[in-house]
Amino acid sequence: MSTPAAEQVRAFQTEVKRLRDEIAKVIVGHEEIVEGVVMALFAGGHALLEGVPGLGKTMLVRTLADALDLAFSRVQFTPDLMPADILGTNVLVEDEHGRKKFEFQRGPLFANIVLADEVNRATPKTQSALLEAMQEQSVTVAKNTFKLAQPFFVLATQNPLEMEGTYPLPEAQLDRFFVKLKVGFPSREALHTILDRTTGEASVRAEKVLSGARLLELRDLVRQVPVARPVQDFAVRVLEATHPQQKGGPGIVQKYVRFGGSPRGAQAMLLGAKIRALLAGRFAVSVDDVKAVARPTLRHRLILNFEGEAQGVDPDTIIDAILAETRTDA
Amino acid sequence: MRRRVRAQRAIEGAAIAAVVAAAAVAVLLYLVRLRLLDDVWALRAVAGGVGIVGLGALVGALRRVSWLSVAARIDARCELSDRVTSALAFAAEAQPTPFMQAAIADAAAHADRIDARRAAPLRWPDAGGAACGFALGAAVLTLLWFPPWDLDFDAPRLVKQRDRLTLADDLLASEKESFKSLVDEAKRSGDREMQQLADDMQQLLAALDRGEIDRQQMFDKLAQIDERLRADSERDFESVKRKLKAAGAELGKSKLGKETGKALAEEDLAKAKKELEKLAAEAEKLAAERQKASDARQAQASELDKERARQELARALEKAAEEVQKNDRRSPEEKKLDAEEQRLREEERRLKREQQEKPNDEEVRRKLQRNQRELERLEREKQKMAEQRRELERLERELRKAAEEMRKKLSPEQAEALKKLAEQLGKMENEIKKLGNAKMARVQIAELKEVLRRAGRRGNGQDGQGGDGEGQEGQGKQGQGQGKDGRAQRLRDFDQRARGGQGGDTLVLGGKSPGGGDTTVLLPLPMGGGGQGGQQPGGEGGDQPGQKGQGQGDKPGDHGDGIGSQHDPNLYGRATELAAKHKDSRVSGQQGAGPTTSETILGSAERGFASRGYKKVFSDYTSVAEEVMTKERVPPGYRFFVKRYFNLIKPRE
Repeated sequence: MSTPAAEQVRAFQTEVKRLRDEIAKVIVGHEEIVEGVVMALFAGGHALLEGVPGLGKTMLVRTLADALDLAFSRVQFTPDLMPADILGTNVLVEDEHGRKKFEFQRGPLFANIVLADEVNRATPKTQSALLEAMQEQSVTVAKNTFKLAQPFFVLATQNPLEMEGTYPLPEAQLDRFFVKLKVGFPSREALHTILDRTTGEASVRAEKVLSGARLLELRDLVRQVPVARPVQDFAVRVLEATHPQQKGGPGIVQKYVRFGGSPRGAQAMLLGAKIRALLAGRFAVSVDDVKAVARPTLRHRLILNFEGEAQGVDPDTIIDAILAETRTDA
Repeated sequence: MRRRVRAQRAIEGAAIAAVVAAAAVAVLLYLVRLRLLDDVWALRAVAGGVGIVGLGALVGALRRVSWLSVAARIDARCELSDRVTSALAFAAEAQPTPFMQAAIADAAAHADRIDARRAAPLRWPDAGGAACGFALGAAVLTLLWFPPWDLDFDAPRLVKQRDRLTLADDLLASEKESFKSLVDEAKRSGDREMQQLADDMQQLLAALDRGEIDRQQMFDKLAQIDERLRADSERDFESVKRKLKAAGAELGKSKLGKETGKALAEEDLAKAKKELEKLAAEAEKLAAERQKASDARQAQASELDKERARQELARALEKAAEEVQKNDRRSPEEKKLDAEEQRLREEERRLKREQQEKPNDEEVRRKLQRNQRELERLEREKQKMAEQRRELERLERELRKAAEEMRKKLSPEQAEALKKLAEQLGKMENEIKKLGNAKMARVQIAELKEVLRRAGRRGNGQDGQGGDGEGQEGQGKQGQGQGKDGRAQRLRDFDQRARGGQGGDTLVLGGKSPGGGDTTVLLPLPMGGGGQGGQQPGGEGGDQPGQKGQGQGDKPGDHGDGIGSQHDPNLYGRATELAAKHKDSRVSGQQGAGPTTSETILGSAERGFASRGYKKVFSDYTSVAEEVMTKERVPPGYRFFVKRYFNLIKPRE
């Protein structure tokens, strides 16, 4: 089949494959994480990576930045970090005529790819400044609004173990992340490869394979992928089932969930499913695509109740139960 | 593809229907095997089951098959990643986008992967296992052997605890006693039927005592016995008694028949019979004397006197016969029965017509059967009434014959006529006794039912606090409503006191005792056990009526520090030292009328119901109570309390 649509799909597949190959030069394993990050990148969302230190989260983001021909900045979040430190501030400068004036000095947020390392260590005030920029794609300082450059992609990391001196992100702000990816410990095979690559003489770096303009084109292509109403209906029913108030939902939801996902969750599910369909070379989204992206797009949007928190219920378990009980042909 | 889906749905529908049908068939077969339904029901059940399965299959096949479900099934089974579903959805769009068109083309390109057999396989239905299980169960039921129903309570049988019916010992004893007296009465009057019935009742009570009969069986059996008695007790023996009384009044007007008439007027048929026999013997004797009479003058004078008396008796007998005949031969009850019979016959004709029109209508068949049973019952009652009427006719004939004979000269025939009259009266006496026994038995059964009903209610609530709350109960050591054990203990204490012993608790009403105590009158303990006590405040700590619990010490002002449980040892002060010599003396009983009734009751209340005087008082009072209960229309509920009361205060040995 050689229709324009088919050509576009093939091009998308090729571009993404090149990007992933480039990342794979540096990052060993973590295919799901890489796929999630790429999905968030092409969907125009932001990603939150959660994992213990030393698993390669920061390296992954740096490699992605290397592979993309885009401006990259990294902000290490600490408790004393102020909003101005990331947004920028007006400073008094002297021009060539010796006159003094205030000039806005852009902060690290003015980049295409921003790595917010250990985002939960900053105070809520600073977190809010970042999250506002993520949502609005613009920054307002001293009554002046500055549009952020496109594409604007934030990758935040957080450590789930250390709770001392941290400020966990509020649920409303978590909702602004397209996906939340859990970075797990690599396999033995992957560890061998990591050691070989990082303790040898040669250091590997990713080449730039995708420009910002092309990335924006591919983002437009993603949005062209149609979704049949029955498939969309499935996504809606999955989202509804995350709410304990919904009648006939799974018992585990009624038992452990205080509040379910927002409509942003369904948006994220469908956009992620579209990217997955394109990556599979299909022209329309399937129910399986929705199911595949349900975990990363919904897990940070489920607010557990006290019982759920006390028993340490994993939101992924709840999502799996919902997917198992939601009929595909209703 | 749709056909396959429909076929599978038909199979599923049939399987679900088969579960329901097999369950229903199993239940019906079970009832058939228990002989609660006719055998024809087995065939009907099987036919109905097959029909239900067919209906289920039809409903399943006719259900709408949506394109969406078919497409989803194809996508899922043929691993097409929702290509077919999406293509069908996009094809319905007015202006499909290039991507939609590409998706449709893509689905078409994958069409060769669609396999109808794989997408909609004909598989074993989900409910198939359950359907087979139920069908197997129904089949097993047809092969099982069931023992016939055995409702005979003679055979000892364990009764489930929850259905078990128990009666308090005293109530059971009282009921047994009632039926024993009925047996005695039946024996005396030679009423074998009543004897048999009373024996049945005694056996029933014995089975109840042993716990071998449950509530349902007990009431069923009582209903059967009551049904047997109904026909007898409903007969109008009061009218027979009235007629005999009127005949007695007429007979009493003559000199010779005075005693007989008096006995009849008093409804003492046995005495009347004896008087008639005496009269017959006298007539015989006079006839013999007349033949032997040597002194003609003397005989003539005596003859004249006797002749007058005889003529007088003849007239009285004739009038008595008229009195017996006076009323319409057919009593109002018989007329009522005729009217009822006519109504039932018409109903029967109507039902038969209906049955011809609708031969399979079960309701009509049932109604017809019930109608026929009613007719049979009416027939039996009519026969008994006719028998009663024949007895009266016979009496009338005998009276007329005796009157006729009396008009003639003294002869052995006169004596024979009077003997026959006496015989007839004897028969009627027996008949009336039987009817009276039947009525009495029905009353006793009604009372027993009430006792059982109350026992059931009490049984339900006996472990909780309170109960029926009738009467008054003292708050002694036992306190309120202690449950069955507490009540049993209180009854034992009461029984002990009633025998003249010392009980643990005191049940008292206010008043002053002769001994200066605060309490005087003992009341029987009610069964309910929840009533608020009427105990006097002065009785705290006392074990006996009339005794104060708080004693007074020998030192002035030395009070007890609370409610005592025993008497003060110095209640009577320091013992008197008798230094002087003493002389024994004896007091003998005094002759006289003895204590009055109120004194006897008072004394019994204090010392128990064991005195001889109390026995007489109790007998008098019981007779009055029974008479009132017999004459007045007292509801069984009230009768229960009266009986219960008298049972508790009965004289003890």
